[in-house]
Amino acid sequence: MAALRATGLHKNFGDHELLDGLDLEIEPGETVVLRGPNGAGKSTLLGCLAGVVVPDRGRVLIDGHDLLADPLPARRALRYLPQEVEVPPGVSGQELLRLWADVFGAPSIDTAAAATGLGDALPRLATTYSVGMRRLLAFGSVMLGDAKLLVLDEPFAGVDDEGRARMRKALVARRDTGSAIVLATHGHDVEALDELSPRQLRLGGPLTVDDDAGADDSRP
Amino acid sequence: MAQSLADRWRPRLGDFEQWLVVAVAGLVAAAALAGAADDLALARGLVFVGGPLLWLCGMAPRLAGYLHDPARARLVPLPLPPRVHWRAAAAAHHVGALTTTLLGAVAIAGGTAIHFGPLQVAGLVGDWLWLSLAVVLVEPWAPAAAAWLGRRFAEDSAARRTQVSLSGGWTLPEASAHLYVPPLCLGVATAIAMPGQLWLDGTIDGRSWPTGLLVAALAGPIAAVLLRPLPCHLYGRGVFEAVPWLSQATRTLAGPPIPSPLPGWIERLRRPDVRLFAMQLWRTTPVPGLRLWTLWIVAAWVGLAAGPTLPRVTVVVALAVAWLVPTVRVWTRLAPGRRAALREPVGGRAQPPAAIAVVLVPVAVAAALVGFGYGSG
Repeated sequence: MAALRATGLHKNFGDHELLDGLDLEIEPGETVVLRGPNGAGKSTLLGCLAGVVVPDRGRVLIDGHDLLADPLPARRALRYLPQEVEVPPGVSGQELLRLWADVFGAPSIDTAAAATGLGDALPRLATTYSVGMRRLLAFGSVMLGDAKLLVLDEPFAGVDDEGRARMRKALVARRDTGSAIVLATHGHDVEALDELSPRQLRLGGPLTVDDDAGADDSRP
Repeated sequence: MAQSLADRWRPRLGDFEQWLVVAVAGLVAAAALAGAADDLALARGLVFVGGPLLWLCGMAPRLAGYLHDPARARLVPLPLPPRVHWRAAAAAHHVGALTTTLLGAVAIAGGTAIHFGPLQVAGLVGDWLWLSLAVVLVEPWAPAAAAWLGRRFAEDSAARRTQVSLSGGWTLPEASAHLYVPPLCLGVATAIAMPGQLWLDGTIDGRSWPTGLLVAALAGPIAAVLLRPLPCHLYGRGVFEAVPWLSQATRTLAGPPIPSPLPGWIERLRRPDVRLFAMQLWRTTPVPGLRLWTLWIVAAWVGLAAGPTLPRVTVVVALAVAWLVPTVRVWTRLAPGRRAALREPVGGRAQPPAAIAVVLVPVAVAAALVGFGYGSG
């Protein structure tokens, strides 16, 4: 069963057409990188896949569950890292990871805590974190539990080189356990993702999908 | 534990300025009741009409947590059961309802105590409390029905055509339910409360009523109590779809990408920090010109033509507050960005005195007009 099957996605914002009948299927253990200029619709597409944007038409199935008709099972199989990470006041990074772990039914936060690399900073209030640290903390939440699909919007933005390397290692580990990954990122980060052997999809203009690697089964 | 995470992003109980509007509405209600002198029928009419209006004033901050609050949009990708979202929002809702109930009771008692005996005052407060009970019981249906109706229906369905028609073309069809359902629920609550209010007033007047009226008075609230579990269920059917649509609609309503031109007086402000404050105030305040001119026109009418009385001056005060309230928002929420943009404002130190003048001068003009009325009267 495909980790993600999106069919016939249409999305307009006013007169601006961003998705025009997009089909996308991602198998377990597969990584897809969305590329394209700013405003091409990468975040909109990821939002549609994560349930924060509702497509005008089309369906999104995550691990066989319809994101709208069957929202809870679909979301249990999904982890979403948004472009902007906000943390609630009065909670430490460690406590926040534990709260997320309870939501995702993860028995432990050890792996996630290691993926963040925040170490001694984890007991500190999350509101005291820098932008990059917040992103690492949110990335840790994505590593919690048994997810079938990771949806990551600019996961490396604001993160230092050491943090990026740790994130890539964690993503490879998740890929190897069968999680599908779809992420939007920019040039130099794409090259650094080689070890994930990603399929690259370019979005641009009136959004259609091209496959830089050639074999594109997602062309509408 | 999932509830704990949702509670960490518990919606705030609205914003300060939204509750200030409720407080001013209560003040206006008290002044209007005081102006009714010893006419008990008029006072009852004012409670009957003004009560729902007071509830309407606080509706946005009371109900925002269910669907509008950014916390919902932030948490919607998580596998949180709908009842978790519901409970997190209901906590703020209950506090808001209690605040409005107490505020209304104080306003009614304060506005009528000097004219009526304790029994009549108790009856007027009782009318308000009975309405409040009906609102508390019915209002949860508003976010529930709005969530269910705020989804996308099939293009050729009657529901979709209704959405499109009600949206009027200026908001998303999916968002139209959020405009109409809450006031409709308030109307239902008012209708449910009417027999009880009638029965209470008649009893205080010593009249005997048919039993049917008492049954009608109790039937609505009892039915609402029995149906109380249903709104949460209905909410769960739509929340995961309605929240993203509403979030998109909110962005759409944020205004055109190219902002409208500013009035000349703002362009002529010389200090950049004060000009920036005025620009933000003007552009982020709904109908700023209407607020300003209404204040001046009503103040001129009161001061120069009609003559100041307590109710009229109260209306002028309410209009002045309607002009001043957005200042709080601009001051508290947008100030950090303004400070960052203009760390060293031309003209030296911090901006408060000059910026405050921007909003206080119109109020001073209105006060002078009303004061003229007192002086000449």
